[in-house]
This record gives sequence, structure tokens and C-alpha cells, in this order.
Amino acid sequence: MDYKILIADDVEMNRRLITDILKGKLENVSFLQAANGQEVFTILDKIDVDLIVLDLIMPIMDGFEVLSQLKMDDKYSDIPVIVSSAITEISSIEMTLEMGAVDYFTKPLSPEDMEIILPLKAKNALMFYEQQKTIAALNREIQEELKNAHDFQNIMLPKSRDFESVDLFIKYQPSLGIGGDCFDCFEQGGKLWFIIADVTGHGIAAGMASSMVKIMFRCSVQHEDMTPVKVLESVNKSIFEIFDFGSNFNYLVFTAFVGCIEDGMFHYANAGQPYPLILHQKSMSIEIIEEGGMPVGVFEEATYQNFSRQLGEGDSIFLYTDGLFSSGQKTDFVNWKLVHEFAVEHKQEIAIEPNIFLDELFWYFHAIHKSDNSSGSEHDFTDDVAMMLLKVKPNNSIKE
Amino acid sequence: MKKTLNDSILTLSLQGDLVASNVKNYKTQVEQYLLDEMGNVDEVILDLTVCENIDSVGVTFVVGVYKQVTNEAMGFRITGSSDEIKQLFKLMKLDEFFDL
Repeated sequence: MDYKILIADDVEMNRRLITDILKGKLENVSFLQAANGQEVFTILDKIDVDLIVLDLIMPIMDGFEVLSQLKMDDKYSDIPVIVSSAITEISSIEMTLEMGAVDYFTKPLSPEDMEIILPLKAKNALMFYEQQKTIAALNREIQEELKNAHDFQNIMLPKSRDFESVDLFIKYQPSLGIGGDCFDCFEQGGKLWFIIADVTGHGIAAGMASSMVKIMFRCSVQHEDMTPVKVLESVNKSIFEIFDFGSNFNYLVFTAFVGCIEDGMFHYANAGQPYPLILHQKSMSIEIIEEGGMPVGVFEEATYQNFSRQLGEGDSIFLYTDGLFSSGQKTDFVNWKLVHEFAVEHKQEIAIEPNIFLDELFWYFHAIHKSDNSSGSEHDFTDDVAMMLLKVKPNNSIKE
Repeated sequence: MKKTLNDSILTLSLQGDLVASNVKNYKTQVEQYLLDEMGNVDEVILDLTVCENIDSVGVTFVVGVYKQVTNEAMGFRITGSSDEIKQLFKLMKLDEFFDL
């Protein structure tokens, strides 16, 4: 590969001298020359350059201005710049290094500079840039893969938002483009089935696992006489049948809440999900579904409990994963109580504008996590966030 | 993680939170300690006194230790857990498997 080095200096003799020094010491390089800052950008517009050796004092546009503009432009900001100048004041050198120059040398060049120092500095800068380009290319590839996975995960979101018995409202934000939270909702054999699940961890592995969870859920409800408990137990059993966990700790573990609405009755089983809430429209009261259960994939012999509630017209079931209220700070995993408090204060929105309720709740916790963030990270939510709200339509019994 | 062996009881005391970023180290240490003390231990205690926070990866770790220990016919229990951690284990019904 041929590296291109741009020598920017208003004195032709200096440009020739630096070119000769580097030509003799570096392999696979070609040289370009600019007599002022303007010419630097004219060349950069047309040719990909791998290193700029930049004189600070030049007519038309000086080296400081060139460096400043380079660093402000995403197209050029990564190109390494070695500053060359007759200026020996430490403050000027310090300023250019602060502005983003990778190295510097002063003129006139000593024999050691010509023989050893300048070629080494140029070689190091070229290698650094090469590594940076490799990392950037890998990052682009990873981002592209994450985007594909994210698109795929979006395809797997519930297809319809308007079911015969309920209206469905969802909000989903994976923390790394792809996440371990998943939900599903569909009508089958006169019943409305839904699940919200949260696979241990987040990122690509959790995203893969969450896709499997959804498929196992869909497959399990195909069987006759399924109940939420049977679904959880069947999925749990499948995990131990399909996957060989050996003796390590890397289980496919997830929390899940499975519900089924049939003829106005809401049947459900909980496998470690934060407690869902029901807004009873008639009394405008919020009920907490405070029944737990162990996560799926933990014990082969795990059993779950079935519970039932009568639903009325306009009642809403609200489910969410712990990523909503967990910020990684101490004891915050019990902050589902804040979700309850928020829901009590925003009952009208749940009843009338569920999407606004989901948005406001999301931003409420976003603000809490931002203010709690002692690590200085820019991330507000440290885990995937999934929220699902089902609002029962009038005449809620589902017809086949 | 600190380990103490007294009267065939191996106490493993965590020195930080039980969250994803720490779990990898904990796993390695637990595996090594159990290997070192194999045959000398009747019961393993996981001491969470210093642990203030736990996430889902941490819960999975505890279950993993429980399974590994009980597979070797040793007893297992947790001590020093805060009320909040107890609440989480109870939500997940894990208190049915080991004492908190």
C-alpha cells in the first residue's frame, strides 16, 4: 500500500528537504506538497492523505488555522498531523498538541533529526493512523451488524396493535441497539396471548436468546389447553432439553410474565418479572399484581402458579421490564414502587392516552437515571427497557 | 472475594456488588475455591453483607453457585443480604431453595 504524505510549507527548500529525508527512510510512500493552508485543503478534497507535515507560519492560511479546520471536519479530523516550525516557544508547540497534532519538530533540523527522529515520528504517525482506520472499519462493521440485528428485532415486535379484544401500546429501547427484552401479543384459538420477558444480560447474546424465547413461546401456545403456567413450564423444560449448559453458569435465564385473556378473564403466571399493574377503569384504581415466581431456565423442575382476574371494559394491564427503573445504583431494583406511584398519579393518561403515559414514564425514569449517574457515562438507561400496555376494548370477549 | 473455612463450613464473602461487571471474577474465584476445598466442605455460605446491588446476572450467579454446591451434596445458604436483596429473591421464589 502506498502512503501519501502531504508536506505543507511555504518554503520550497524545506518541502524538498523533508521529502528527501522521509523518502530515504520510509518505504511505500509518495509525497504531495502545499505552499499554504488553502492548498492543503485543495489537495485533501481530491486525494486521501495519510499524514500531514504542517508548517505553522505560512501565508494565506497559517498552520494553526489549518490544524483547527482539520480537527473540526469529520472527514479530516483523524489524519495525523506533525507540526514543523521554526518556532521554538513551548507555548506554540503546546497549543498545537492540544489542538490535536500528534507530534512536532523544530527547524532547523539537526543531523539526528534528519537521520532518526523525523523518519521515526512519521513512521509512528502512519502506523497509528493505519490502526485507527482498521478500528474504524471494524466499528463500522459492528455497527452495521448491530443495525441489522436491531432491524431484525423490530421485525419480531408484535405485528398488530389493534386486536379484537384489546388495543396494544408498546415502547421498546434496547441499551446496545439490540437487547434481551422481548414481548409478543397475538390472538390464537379465541384467546389473546401475551408475554413480556427479560433475558439475563443485554447485547447481542441476550438479543439472540430473546428471539429464541419468543419462538418457544409461540410454539408452546400451539398446544391444546395451554395455560400461562403450562407455557412457562413447557418453555422451561424445553430450555433444559435443547441446551447443554454443562457445569458452567451461562444459562439461558430470563424473567417472564405470560398472560392470556379469554372471555374477559385474565389468566397469568409470573416468572420473576417486576409486578405488573392493572388500571380498573370503573373505579379508576390501580391494582398491583403482586405474585412472583422463579425465572425461567434456572431449575429444570421449576413450577409456577396460575392466577386469574376478571377484567372490565376499558381496564388496562401495564407490564414493564426492570431496565425501566434500574440504574445500576444500590437497591434500585425495588424501584418498581416508583412505577406504581407514577401510574397512580397518571391514571387519566393510562385510561385516555396510553402512548403519552408510556412516553412520560420513560422520560421520568430517564431523568432519574441521568441525575443518579455518578459514573459520568452518557447513558441514561443501563439496561434494555420494554413496556407494554393492553387496554381492554368494549365487549372484550374474543370471538373465534 | 474472601474465603474462610471453619468446621467444614466454607464462607465466601463478596467484596462488592453482585452485578454483571463483577460476576466474571466471582465465577472464577468460586470455581477455584470449591476445587481447592473439595472434600473438606459440608456447607457453603455466600456472605452478601458488603453487597448493596444485585442485577439479573448476579441472581443467575447465585443460582449457579447453589446448583454447583448442591450437586456436590453440600449445603448452601446466603447470609448478610439486605432487605431489598431478600425481597428480590422472594419475588423470584428463590427463597424456596435456599435460606436467606
